[in-house]
Amino acid sequence: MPDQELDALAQIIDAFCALAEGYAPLATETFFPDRSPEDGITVEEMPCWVIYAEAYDFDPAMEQGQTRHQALINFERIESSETVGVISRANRAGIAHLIAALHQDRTLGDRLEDTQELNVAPPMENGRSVGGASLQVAIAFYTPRGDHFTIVSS
Amino acid sequence: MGLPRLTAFDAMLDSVTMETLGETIQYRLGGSSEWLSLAAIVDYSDQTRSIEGVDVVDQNIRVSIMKSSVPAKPSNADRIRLEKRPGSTFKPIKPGSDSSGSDWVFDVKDVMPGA
Repeated sequence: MPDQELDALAQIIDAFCALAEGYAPLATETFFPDRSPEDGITVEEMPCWVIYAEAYDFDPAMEQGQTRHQALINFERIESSETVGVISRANRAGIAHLIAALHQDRTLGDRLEDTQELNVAPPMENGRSVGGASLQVAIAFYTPRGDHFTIVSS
Repeated sequence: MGLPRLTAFDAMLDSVTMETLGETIQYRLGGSSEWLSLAAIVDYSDQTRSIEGVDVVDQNIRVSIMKSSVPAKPSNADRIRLEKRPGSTFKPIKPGSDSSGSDWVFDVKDVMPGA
């Protein structure tokens, strides 16, 4: 069966994933761009990242017959260690590397208007041997009006 | 003559049960450098936790030891090593009594090597 056609946001999440995977300091970490939340992550898979769109909205860009999309993307890092803390040092270091990885190509090869990191938040509760922290980034990009499968180069 | 109370046999039954059903763990009291071998009943179950909406499989180990082998309530300065989790050292957290009053039951948290 052919792959389902990917909407613009899925294409962008996959591109972020490829960008981060190609960044040497993150080479030993696994990225999941399409992981079901209930598909539990095991210790053997950590440290890993789950990337998902938290929210997105649209503005008309009528002069070009386009729609401007703004999305919040979460990069959730999950690790296992003795000191998971509130936001562990291992997670903070991972997030710092990820920001450097994203900074290499903030427009994802002219597909995005911009990528801006916004904040890092801890989970409501960490586990005993596992901890998480998420980086939220804001992105903006354009598609033709009514066609959310095609990204217009900026 | 009244019937004997079952609780009168607790100490004997508890130690036989623990020796028969339990496993050997290494236990070090806070401030000591000596590892003691104790019989303990260990539940190695994992638990799924939701970390910001992402399900993660985490350890949910519970250990039960006899108060006769460790009279003082376990503290987070004590250290534990478990047969089936080689390479990790744990400390007791949330220690409490079991329903009979003769065992300590607690969860464990990983500690840094050497801590």
